[in-house]
Amino acid sequence: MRFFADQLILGLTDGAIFALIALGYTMVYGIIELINFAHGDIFTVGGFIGLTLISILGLQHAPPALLIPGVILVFLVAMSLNGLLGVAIERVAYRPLRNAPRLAPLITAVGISFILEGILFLLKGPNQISYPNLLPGGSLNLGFASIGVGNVFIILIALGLMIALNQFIQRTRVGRAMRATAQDRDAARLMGVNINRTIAITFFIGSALAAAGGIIYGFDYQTIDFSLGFRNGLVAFTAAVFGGIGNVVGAALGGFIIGIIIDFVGGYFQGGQQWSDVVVFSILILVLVFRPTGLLGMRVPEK
Amino acid sequence: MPILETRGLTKRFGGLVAVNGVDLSVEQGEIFAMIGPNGAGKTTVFNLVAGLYKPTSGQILFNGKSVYPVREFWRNYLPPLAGYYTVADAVRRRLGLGPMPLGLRPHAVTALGIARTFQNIRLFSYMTALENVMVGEHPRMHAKVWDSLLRTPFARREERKVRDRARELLRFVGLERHQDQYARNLPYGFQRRLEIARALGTQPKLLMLDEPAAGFNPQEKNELMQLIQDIRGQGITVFLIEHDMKVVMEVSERIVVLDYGEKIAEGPPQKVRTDPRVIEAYLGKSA
Repeated sequence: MRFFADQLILGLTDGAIFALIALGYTMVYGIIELINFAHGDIFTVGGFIGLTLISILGLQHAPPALLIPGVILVFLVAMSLNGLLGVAIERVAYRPLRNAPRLAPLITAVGISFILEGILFLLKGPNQISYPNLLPGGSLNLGFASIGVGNVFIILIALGLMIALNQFIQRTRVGRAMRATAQDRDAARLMGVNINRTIAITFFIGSALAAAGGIIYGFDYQTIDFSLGFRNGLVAFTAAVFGGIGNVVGAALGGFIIGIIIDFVGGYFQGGQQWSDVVVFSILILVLVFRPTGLLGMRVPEK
Repeated sequence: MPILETRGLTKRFGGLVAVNGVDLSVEQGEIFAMIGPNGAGKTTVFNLVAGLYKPTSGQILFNGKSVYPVREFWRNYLPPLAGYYTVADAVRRRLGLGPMPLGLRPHAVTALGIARTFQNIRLFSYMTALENVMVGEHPRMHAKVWDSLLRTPFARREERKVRDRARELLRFVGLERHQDQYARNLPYGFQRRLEIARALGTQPKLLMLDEPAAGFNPQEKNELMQLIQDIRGQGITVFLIEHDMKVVMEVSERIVVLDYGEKIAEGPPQKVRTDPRVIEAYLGKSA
């Protein structure tokens, strides 16, 4: 029972990270039908930006009173910078190809992925780099299980961001413009929506959420390396497909479910991560074959 | 001064001349109709005015000002260089991407005060009727990205105001009872009305309707004609494409007839109806 609960909490924590990455995949796919293969590496870059900011601010040694505003600042600055990186990538690699055949931007996305990985390799080297965990330690004892306070924080940060995103998309001017652009680009332009700006905003938000995911990943695993984005990106992509690519709620749900599956498989079977990957990518294939629209379908469910 | 004027408007798609040297002038506050056989280039004219297509040559003036300020200059003074005057342009041509798009982009044209509906309905199917109209109000809203992200008091107040205005527009077209239904679940006739409400949401000075009566029964056609009159009553100029002769003859004050991309007649309904070239275009030479 205790082991079950531990795996569940681990799964939810990993799921929160996958969900934050999956949101970027699903938003970009929703609006320009591009699978942004560079997104996993944007996630890694976000984690590294966070690490750099932490060491610039010296937060590892900061007194507790400064820690909370410091961490919030790190999140805000890293998310903004990573958002701008996403916008720049869209501007350079995807926008010029918007009317080109669908394969062209897919190839540039793979190219951008390798470029980002290469740059990170050159700057940070091939080794794993240790990452400070700035979340509160300790654990809550619930009798049947003990839950790490850090894990609770991670899940809450991710849920908070997702709820904010959903409110933004459903209830604001810019969110509505994003949905309109996703559904019919030309009709949206003719209703006065600046689609270039709307698409740029989508990339900004997706990349900002990936940065949040990257920092949380660092806190959770206390290590980071240049190639992190490859596997985590693919797993998050699976989560987005599983939930229904293009659907924001689906991506969040898919992320949590995939996270839980990974940690249960990894915990209960000999062989750990290798088995998890086998199971996760089997799920990807099964979903694509039997339910290509995913759990929740492409769009919102019918009212 | 006409609200909309085109001078020598021409659009070529490869070898096909879709619109050929068309001069139009739509007067402020009138109901102006454009008719012609299928493929005469009517929708292309709409797309050119809306900024979806760039004209091969010619001008579009809205309230006396050109909708294509930059290109116009080069067209007039450096005709042989038109389309080739920047390196970027030449590179784009080499890559087969066409010339640099210049002039106003569609969303800016809408912001000037030109709105339209579509021949084949193009609503945002997975949004409610109310949300569709609220998208239309997008260019008249002022909330910036940060207002939206942080949902500032200003953004919330504006949201409420826009929601109320959208409700009013739905009432105006008779859809207030269906505001929370998804656009795709509305009956066909309501979808056409919703498109009009969405276009009115942009607060246009000129409303372009592309075959608004298509697929309507006589009762619905009468209601539509009343609606068009009501829209004009609010001071909005109406420019429509319509195939239904009864609607065109009853509702419009002036008509222009296109055939094979060229203007063949223009004038009040009575005159156009009896014009021999119009009869020939519609019925063929032998008639």
